[in-house]
Amino acid sequence: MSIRIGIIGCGAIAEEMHIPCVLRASEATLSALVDSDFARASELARINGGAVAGVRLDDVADQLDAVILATPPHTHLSLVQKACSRGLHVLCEKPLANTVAECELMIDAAVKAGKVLAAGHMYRFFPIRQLAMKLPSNHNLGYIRKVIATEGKQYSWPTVTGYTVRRDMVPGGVMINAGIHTLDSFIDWFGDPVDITYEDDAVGGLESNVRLRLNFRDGVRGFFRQSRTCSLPYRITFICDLGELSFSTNSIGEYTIIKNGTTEMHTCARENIDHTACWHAQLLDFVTSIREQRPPLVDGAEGTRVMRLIENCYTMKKARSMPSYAPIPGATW
Amino acid sequence: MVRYAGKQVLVTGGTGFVGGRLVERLILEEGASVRVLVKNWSKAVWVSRYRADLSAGDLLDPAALCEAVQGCAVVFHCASGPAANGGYRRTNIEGTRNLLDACKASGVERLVYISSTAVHGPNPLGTLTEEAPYVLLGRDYSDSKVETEKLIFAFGRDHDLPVSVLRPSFIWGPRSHLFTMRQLREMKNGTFRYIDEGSGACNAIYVDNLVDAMLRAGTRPEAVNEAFLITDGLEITWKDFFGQYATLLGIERLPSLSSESAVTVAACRLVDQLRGILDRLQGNPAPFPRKVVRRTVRILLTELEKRYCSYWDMEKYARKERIDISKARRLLGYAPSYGLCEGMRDTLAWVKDQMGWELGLTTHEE
Repeated sequence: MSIRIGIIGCGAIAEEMHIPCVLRASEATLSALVDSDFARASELARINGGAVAGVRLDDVADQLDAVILATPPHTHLSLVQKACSRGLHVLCEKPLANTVAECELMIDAAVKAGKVLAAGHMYRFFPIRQLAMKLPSNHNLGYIRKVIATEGKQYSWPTVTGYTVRRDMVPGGVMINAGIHTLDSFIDWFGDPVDITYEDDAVGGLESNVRLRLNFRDGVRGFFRQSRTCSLPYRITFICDLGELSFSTNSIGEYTIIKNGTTEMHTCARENIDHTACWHAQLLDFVTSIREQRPPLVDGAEGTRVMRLIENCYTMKKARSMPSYAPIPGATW
Repeated sequence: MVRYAGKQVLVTGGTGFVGGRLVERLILEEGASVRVLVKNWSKAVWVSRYRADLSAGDLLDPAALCEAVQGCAVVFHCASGPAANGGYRRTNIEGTRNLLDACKASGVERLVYISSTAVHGPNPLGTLTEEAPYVLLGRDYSDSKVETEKLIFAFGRDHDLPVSVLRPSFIWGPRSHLFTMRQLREMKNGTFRYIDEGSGACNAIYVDNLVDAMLRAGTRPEAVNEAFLITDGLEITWKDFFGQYATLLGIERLPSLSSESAVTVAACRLVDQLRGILDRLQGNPAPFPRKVVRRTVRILLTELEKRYCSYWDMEKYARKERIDISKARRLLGYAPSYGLCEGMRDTLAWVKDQMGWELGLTTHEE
């Protein structure tokens, strides 16, 4: 039997990813769309198969088995608690919540209700991310000594509410909004870091540029630079004893090996795997975990783990000296 | 001396280059409470780094403007740009009228407007002063600035709203697309050209010098109902200026175009015309013949741009006239804090940080 899914929050990520993904899936049915802007929910429902539209979860809860939360993160806690109390399973977009404390309350709500809580870290479903730790030995590169990740471009996400830049809605900027994917991969691959050095450019607001250095338990060092104001390569590189392995952060399966002065291109994904397939894999994992009553690949605890790292970063932040707020020489009034 | 401590200030255009730097200094140095009118959230990533109050709305939304202006003592009006429907004129003139109405309704004490030296046209006679007449060129940007200035002064007079207008020249510094980032990219890809070997007068203004003048115009009684030309006040050429960018990139010599060559002038005019045609042909879906014309124009323009610049740029970089800022010195007490060395020091540090990878100056791990 198909799982009846409601999507809560009809912003860009719902329209571009979640709705098409559910519509394509034979395991799930798009039963409801909910948004505080009813006209928006109705319009999306109309053009996407006539799902029921509503402005509150309560309006549609009776007609659902599960919900996908695609609302700004400050709403996640109350919505997860509401959904669980109405007997619904939840796939919650990243970040799971704004704080670790909120994440833990969400896990509590799901456990008490006996419902699945999955965190929407969909990069975990990319074949390259799943196989990354095996590839260096497959290519005889020796041990991984260092991992370097960079990502940056002028921010252009068409956010409707502006939540990604509003400190009344989120506790952080570029790292919690976008860097969370790479950080989630880092701790998935190497475990929780034993030591971090973090700096960003926020001055009372939200960071747009970060530099993070990490030391992991087995001696691997990590470096992550991210920006939403400037261009940086979208790339993750493993520096190994005998060469390098690197791939684009958007790569599904393609990667590059540099060894003995030669560069080779490889892929670790089947030919028919694309981004759509990865979104489907996430949905399928969620639906299967509901049916089989097992934890999803990225459960509430995993979603909390990366939030703990981010919270630690913000706590031990060093202000980054951005040239644009250098003291004014000789400024006298 | 801090003049804005505890004051509520609204900045329109606060997500942009000049407005963004103004917001930064109002908060970090002046201790002001700053509200920023945000039209496009994704553009707010710079200004969101500070403790500013981000208020959704734009100049064409009178209700949002009334809300944004509420409780503000000073309004800095930096927003300018083509509206989705109606070009510069709609944003600059209709938008400013909406803002003036909102200022009047909520008892704003001072409005400072960022205009442009472009209101005097490209070729003033001799040294340019504020006494030079307005010049309408038939260009959307500069003509709309003229009309907006007239509107602001008339409104201020008729409604007892203290207003002040600044006319900056070419604004450079961190985040300047037009006079920093663009030229660096052009030098990197080999399309930058000096005009007349860079011998024209560089009347540029560093963004922090402009912000100094804005902060003064927002409080000084002498600034009311006055317009001020603002530059760095330096007697340098474009070669002195852009040569610093070239040095950063390790470029020893840059090519030049002559403004006295009839062929070059004709080619530069053609660049402007083709850009205008291309603008008019934009829009999807387009019928097949229009697509063909558009593609042909684009190919031709791309080829021309490899060797020539726009005529607008040629005029700008060929002019030898200086801009007189003695009125700003006298009435605002304006004295540029940044010289070329100080401005370049901070600009190039910013460029290395934010454009370093793009320009091949730094490794990604720095």
